[in-house]
Amino acid sequence: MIEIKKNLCDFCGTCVSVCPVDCIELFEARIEIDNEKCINCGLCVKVCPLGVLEQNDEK
Amino acid sequence: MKNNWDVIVVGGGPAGSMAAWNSAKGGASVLMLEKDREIGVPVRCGECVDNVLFPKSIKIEDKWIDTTINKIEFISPDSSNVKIKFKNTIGYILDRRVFDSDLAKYASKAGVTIKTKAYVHGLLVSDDGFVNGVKVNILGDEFELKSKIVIGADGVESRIGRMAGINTALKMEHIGSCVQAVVSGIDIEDDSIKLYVGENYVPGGYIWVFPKGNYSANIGLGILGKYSSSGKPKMYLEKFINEHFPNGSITNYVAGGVPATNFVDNIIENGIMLVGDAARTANPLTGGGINAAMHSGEIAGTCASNAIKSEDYSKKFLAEYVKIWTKFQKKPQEQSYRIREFALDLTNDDYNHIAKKALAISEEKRSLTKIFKIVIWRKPSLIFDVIKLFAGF
Ligand SMILES: Cc1cc2nc3c(=O)[nH]c(=O)nc-3n(C[C@H](O)[C@H](O)[C@H](O)COP(=O)(O)OP(=O)(O)OC[C@H]3O[C@@H](n4cnc5c(N)ncnc54)[C@H](O)[C@@H]3O)c2cc1C
Ligand code: SF4
Ligand code: SF4
Repeated sequence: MIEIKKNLCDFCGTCVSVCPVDCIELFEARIEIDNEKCINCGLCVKVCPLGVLEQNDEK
Repeated sequence: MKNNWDVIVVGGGPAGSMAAWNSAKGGASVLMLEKDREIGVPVRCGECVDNVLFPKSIKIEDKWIDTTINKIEFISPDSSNVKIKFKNTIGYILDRRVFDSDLAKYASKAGVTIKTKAYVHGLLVSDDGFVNGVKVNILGDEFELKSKIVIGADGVESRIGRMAGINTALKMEHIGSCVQAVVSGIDIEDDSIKLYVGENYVPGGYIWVFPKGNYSANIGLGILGKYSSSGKPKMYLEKFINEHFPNGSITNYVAGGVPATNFVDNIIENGIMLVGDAARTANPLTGGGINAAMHSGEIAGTCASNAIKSEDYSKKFLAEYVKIWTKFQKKPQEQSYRIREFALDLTNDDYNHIAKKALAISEEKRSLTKIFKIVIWRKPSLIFDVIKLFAGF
């Protein structure tokens, strides 16, 4: 599971561009991750320039 | 609002405006949808453009230009400053807030209808597999709008392509993870851009300082995904600004992603074309993407209006766009990609050595070609690559 520190997000789309299953959505000033679709690969966490995302082990 | 259009463009950046504008010039009815509330804002960009590569169809207006550049400074890990002066202007630092908004205004003057706060979250697809419209939320209301062609100009996210089955997901070696601050109250030269290279500044990337005039600059950095980790770009930029501009004030701060791929030609399907960052058109060495986004938009827009006239929206017809784009972009993008891979192998020692040699050449005689020669002598094992690069195979 990916946790979002929502108040830190700048809605830049970097995480969206690498998500292999396209489960991150950004609408102007809102970010949502579909945890049903997420495969917990951690790529979005790695590329977030601001450190907004955190990976949890349990799915 | 009309719910039937010839062309629907998703995204109102430079690629989207150029695509919309050129479709409309060719007589198509065009709708451009932008999810943010205002075209041109926020500015997630260093705003530096090469003036020679700027599309010839547009005359650069003074109000788009913050500063005019004729010098580049490379700063090596040991702080040597290698300055190269050019006889002519080599580029501008734009004010993209004004520039992007003016491009959209040009498009609307040519007949394009523009909607902001318009978030596209799905595509309509016909029984025979042609994309023929979008599902969009405009100011809170849901619409299904029909079109003959959709142009995905949705930037680095590039989800529109994915909705049509084009896999645009970027690998870790193909995404630049960036942050940028506008720093004010600093004393810098307004005709020179500074590039800091070496892993003490930032590993797997570089730092830019682009003058904006009025004692301010865009100061930012990008790290290639495979060398980055959560929040690393932010950490390195803070460190750099504290060390180099401790008295500056940060008046704007953004995050951003730049595609840094080799040339991509998988950018069309039946009824859909991708342009700009969505089509991974940016320069993989520098991260510069404004010019390429505009060119791809221009070519795709013209192709879309031809498709409308010929009533043929098939992948086969739209391949005309890919053909012209390939001819324009493939070689330069492949070259930049190879130089990028080569530059990633350089160590701090290499950079310091190159800087020392470059400084031994007098400032009047120093040129990019001469510095490139030094680089090759430093890394003879790479000569073959470089020969290939210049021979173009
Ligand atoms: C930090 C940073 C610095 C950079 N510096 C430079 C530089 O100095 N020089 C340079 O040439 N390039 C630079 N670039 C790259 C440059 O910004 C991009 O290449 C350029 O903006 C691409 O234009 P575009 O029109 O393709 O995409 P964008 O300008 O990103 O526009 C895409 C638009 O689509 C909208 N959108 C996305 N999804 C949807 C949707 N579902 N529905 C509706 N709208 C949507 C977005 O809100 C956005 O406005 C930089 C990039 C970054 C991140
Ligand atoms: S990469 Fe980070 S800052 Fe950018 S949209 Fe994703 S979570 Fe937000
Ligand atoms: S962990 Fe992987 S699958 Fe899940 S949201 Fe992030 S990038 Fe997508």
